[in-house]
Amino acid sequence: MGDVQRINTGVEGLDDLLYGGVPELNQVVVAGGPGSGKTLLSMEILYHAAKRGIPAAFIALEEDPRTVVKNFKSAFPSFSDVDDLINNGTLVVGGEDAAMRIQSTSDSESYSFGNIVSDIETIVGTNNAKLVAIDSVSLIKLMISDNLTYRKSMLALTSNLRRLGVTGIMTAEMPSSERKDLKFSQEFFIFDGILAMYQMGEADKRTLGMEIVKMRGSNHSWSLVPYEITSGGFKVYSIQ
Amino acid sequence: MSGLNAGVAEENKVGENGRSKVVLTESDKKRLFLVAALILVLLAGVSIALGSIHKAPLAACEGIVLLQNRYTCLNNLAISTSNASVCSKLPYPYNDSCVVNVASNTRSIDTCNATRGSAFYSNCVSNISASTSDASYCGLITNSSSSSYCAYRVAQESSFDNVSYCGLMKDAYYASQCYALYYYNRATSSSNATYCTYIQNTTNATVLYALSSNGRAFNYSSFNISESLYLGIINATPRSYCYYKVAVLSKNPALCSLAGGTIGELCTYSLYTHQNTTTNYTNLNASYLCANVPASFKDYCILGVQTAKAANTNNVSVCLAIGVAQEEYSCISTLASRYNESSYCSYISNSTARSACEISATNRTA
Ligand SMILES: Nc1ncnc2c1ncn2[C@@H]1O[C@H](COP(=O)(O)OP(=O)(O)OP(=O)(O)O)[C@@H](O)[C@H]1O
Ligand SMILES: [Mg+2]
Repeated sequence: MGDVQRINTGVEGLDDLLYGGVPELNQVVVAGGPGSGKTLLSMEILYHAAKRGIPAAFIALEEDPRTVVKNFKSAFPSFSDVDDLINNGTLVVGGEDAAMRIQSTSDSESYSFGNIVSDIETIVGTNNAKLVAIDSVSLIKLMISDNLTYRKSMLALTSNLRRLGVTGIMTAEMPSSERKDLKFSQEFFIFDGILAMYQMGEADKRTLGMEIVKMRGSNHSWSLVPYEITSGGFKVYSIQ
Repeated sequence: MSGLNAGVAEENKVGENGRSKVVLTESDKKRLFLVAALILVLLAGVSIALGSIHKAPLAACEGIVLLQNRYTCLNNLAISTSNASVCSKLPYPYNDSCVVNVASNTRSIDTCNATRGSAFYSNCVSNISASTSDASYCGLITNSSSSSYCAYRVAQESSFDNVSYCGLMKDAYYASQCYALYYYNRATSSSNATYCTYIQNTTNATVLYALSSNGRAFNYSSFNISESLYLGIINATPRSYCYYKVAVLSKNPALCSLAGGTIGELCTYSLYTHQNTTTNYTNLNASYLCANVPASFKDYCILGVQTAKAANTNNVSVCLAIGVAQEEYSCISTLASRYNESSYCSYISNSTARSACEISATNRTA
């Protein structure tokens, strides 16, 4: 297992938690409550990868892609050179078409899901992305009312990404942001890895914590660790 | 600003000067020597400053102005001295995290008591329980779900080969997965389907998925489109899945009838496509084999059969007979990758899918 190929997240402290990074081709879900930082974290991972020359694609289904970039730059002023990566094509931020399909209800569920998958493949194809973030897959769940069709669709999506040689990061909203409620609905078993983000609620002050719950093909730390969203990016308090 | 930050800034500056001076002073060896000496002195200073982060005593840590660095310093000091009382110098949640680190390192359950938050306490006890393979401490965690998760982690460490751990899980979510995984692993490792009778025969998608993704017979490369054949099937129970898996592993069609229902039919179908020595692939008939597959899986079934047929006969026209573009692409890519034959990819009209096919055909080394 020592020679597994990994993609470093580049996020301070997170690679220590992952014992080096995300194993290549793993489809990992970043799960957390509202406002836990799922969008910013997945975008930061892509930013660092793109800076190292790894083509990356961010698929924004919940917000306008331009808003994602704008929020990213305002949260992380030190990463404002993200525009250069976008301009030279190493980082693609897209998803308008797929987001529009999700919002329009005219298509049949499976037809429109098929189109979303091909929209995603088109975005991935623009720069032959090796690392892809989809924000969020919870939205796809809302779109597909039938649970069985949803699970089948998620399987199709993840196996397609694997086939395209892509390492995937999917964000998902958790019904509870408390750690004691850590239980995953069935579709989470499809993913190769789960990173969970929590509010560590002390009444007055918002504190955040994360842990790796699962990572196929690799050992990892089991510690629940605090993290902060600082102007210089995420800071994860793991031990080196 | 702290000495550390000044030191780092200094280091960067020197790095830049050092580079430019090398170009300028090629003819002036004295200046080069001076610059090199200066760099050495400064680097030594920087490494002392950096070293102090890890080795400084309490007062030095507490003197660090930048909070993040101070927290890291105290945390490292607590760990290196195995002294959890240092953690009390930190605010929540860094203090709790620090305690978990010290306790996990020293495998001291008592140290976990110094945590304030219940989430950190349960993580602390779970880490030590898992690393010592001793689930008895999990009972110290009051929340039933967290206590069960603790025992689940211990069971997971042992690859679910000890059923007594399952008895410690009060939360049915974990207990049902634990028992099913234990008997499923026994069944698949011994190819003895009797163990499947201990697994629940009522529909439970969570347990079903747990078996397919955590069970011993799990194989990364098999978790592909053919896995989805049965994963999505609602009427497959964990027990019927167990029969199915033992049937396929032991190539025993009789067990497929024990699986029953749709998964029983798929079991028979899988034996067809997996028995590469006995099956005459040229005569595989997708519409016949997939006739009894539920409508929502018919497309996967046809894809599976046609891909198996194409891949074993090295015949791309079998892929082109599928009739659904996306699935034809998948079949062609499998074929191209299996035979390292990127020219097959030219049958794919979609350019993205075609380049992905070409990459997988040329990248394959094994
Ligand atoms: N400019 C900023 N400066 C500091 N922190 C910020 C800034 N912008 C956002 N944040 C932090 O990031 C969090 C939101 O991040 P993000 O949008 O990634 O969360 P999310 O989990 O994707 O949320 P949602 O559930 O709404 O999608 C906020 O709660 C806030 O704490
Ligand atoms: Mg978001």
